[in-house]
Amino acid sequence: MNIIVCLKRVPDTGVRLEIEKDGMELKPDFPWVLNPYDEFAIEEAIRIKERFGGSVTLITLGSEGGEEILRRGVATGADVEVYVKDPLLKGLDEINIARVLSAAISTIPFDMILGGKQGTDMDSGVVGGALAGLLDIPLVSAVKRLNILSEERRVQAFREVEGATEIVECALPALFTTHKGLNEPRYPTLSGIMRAKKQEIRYLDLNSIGIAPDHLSNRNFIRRVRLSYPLLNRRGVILKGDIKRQVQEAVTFLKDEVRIL
Amino acid sequence: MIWVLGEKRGDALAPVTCEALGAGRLLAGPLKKELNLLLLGDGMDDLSEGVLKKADRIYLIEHSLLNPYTGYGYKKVLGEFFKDKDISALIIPGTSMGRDLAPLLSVSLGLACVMNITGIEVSNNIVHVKRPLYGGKIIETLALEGGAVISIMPRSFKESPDSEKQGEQISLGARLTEDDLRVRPVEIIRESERRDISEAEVLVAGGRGVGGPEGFHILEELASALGGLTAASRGAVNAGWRPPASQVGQTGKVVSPKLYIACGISGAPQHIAGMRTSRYVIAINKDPNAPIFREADLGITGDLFEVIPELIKEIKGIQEGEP
Repeated sequence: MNIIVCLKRVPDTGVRLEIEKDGMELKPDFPWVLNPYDEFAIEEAIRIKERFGGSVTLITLGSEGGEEILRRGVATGADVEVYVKDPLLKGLDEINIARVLSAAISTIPFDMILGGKQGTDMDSGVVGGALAGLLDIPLVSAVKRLNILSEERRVQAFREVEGATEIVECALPALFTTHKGLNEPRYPTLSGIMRAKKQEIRYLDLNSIGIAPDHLSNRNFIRRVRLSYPLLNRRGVILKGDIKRQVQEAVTFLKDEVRIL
Repeated sequence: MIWVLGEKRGDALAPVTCEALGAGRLLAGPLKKELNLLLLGDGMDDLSEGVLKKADRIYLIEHSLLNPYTGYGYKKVLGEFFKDKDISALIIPGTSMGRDLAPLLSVSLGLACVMNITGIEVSNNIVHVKRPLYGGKIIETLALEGGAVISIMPRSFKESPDSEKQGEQISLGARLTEDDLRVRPVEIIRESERRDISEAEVLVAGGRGVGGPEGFHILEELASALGGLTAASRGAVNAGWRPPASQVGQTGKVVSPKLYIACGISGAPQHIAGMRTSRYVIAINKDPNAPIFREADLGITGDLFEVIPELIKEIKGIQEGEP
């Protein structure tokens, strides 16, 4: 089973983010991490490889900084690292990212493509679905359980829908986006970290995958106007003392302001 | 034209369908365009009743293979439907269906794709939309300069008022075979809590301070007294006390209920990211310095196992006192 796992780096979810004066970009002083949902994709790929054999190829794209997340993936057991690195990829929208990925992936044989259900940065979850559409392969999004059926060319997947779990089946090759609960991602081992240091990354750029820069130039008719902080109009009243009195004030709030009682 | 894709939930339309029509009206009004609703499924005769006066035209596209939803099935049928039609915007509910479908459709229709919209503004024919990024820590305003598939965040748009005129209803068939679906639906297992936390009006959320799975019983009691659902922080989910589907936060769900009651949740930035857009927030915590209090309209300082039973008693007292 040959599996491609798509990775993305995102700002650490635990830090405060600040906006540059121009209101268009974030101040770059935050630590980057591997997108948390991608960790489930790497782990699932390694588990499938351990059971059925084959290889796990990691792929990321961007203008800088992708090496770290690729190495992390190799340290936990992935085999090959592909990095589409090109300055033109900076700030690219999701549909165009999917186009670049699909061009890069079309040179790699695969049975499955895995990736996190969304990045915790844009929270869009567009790249996976768009990539499946471009490659014209089955898509199952937000998967919380995957069963490779015995004949190996079919997969049963459990996905979360509103208030229910949906079970679906599809033939391979197919693309699955991974959700929390799919597995418990393992930590890198020491020998894995050593191996990752020695492993060579295969670099590609737009030219080498046959994408002309003007192919990406329209940026899909979406233009950022500004970034801002969410408006907070919380009353911020902290009650103290006797619980009975506090509760009575809370109930008055529910009745008169929330108007729920 | 402005298009809205409706969604079924059980035998009725999901509430987010009316919210999507509300969002559609915000575009259709100032742009002076028609607002059309699309419903895909099987046997939907009574379904459109509640929305007849909210759209200029309602297309019912029926085929036995359109129920339940499949991404490629919908993509094929909608691709054929839109072949000879103009799309300024196609608004899709930001549900598990919509999030699955929007990118597939946007690629096949050659449109931009913007997810999780929480606001729409039109001035001088320029469309600006807002969406939360980084789990709600930052808001991005985008200008749409061409046709787009837009998914809206549930509970972010008001239902539009009925117009005087009833929309024209058009029933269509579809051409679809099993092979077109690519992904075969096998079974849907309903969980005990039928609704999803992202669609609830009231959420009672518990964190590590709840102490264990049995501690959530009292939260459930409070939630049901208020007609809401329970949710959980990452800590409570990672401890195995609650299912991942109930997690609020940056690696869980972003929720916008009318009322969010945070119980025993300290308020890590990742959690705040998931509940910041709630209309009203009440926090219950033993620690008066818990960061959650800074994100609350009202903070109750005390042991949640003392506070919540008292709260339930008072709420029930008022509810039973009503005629």
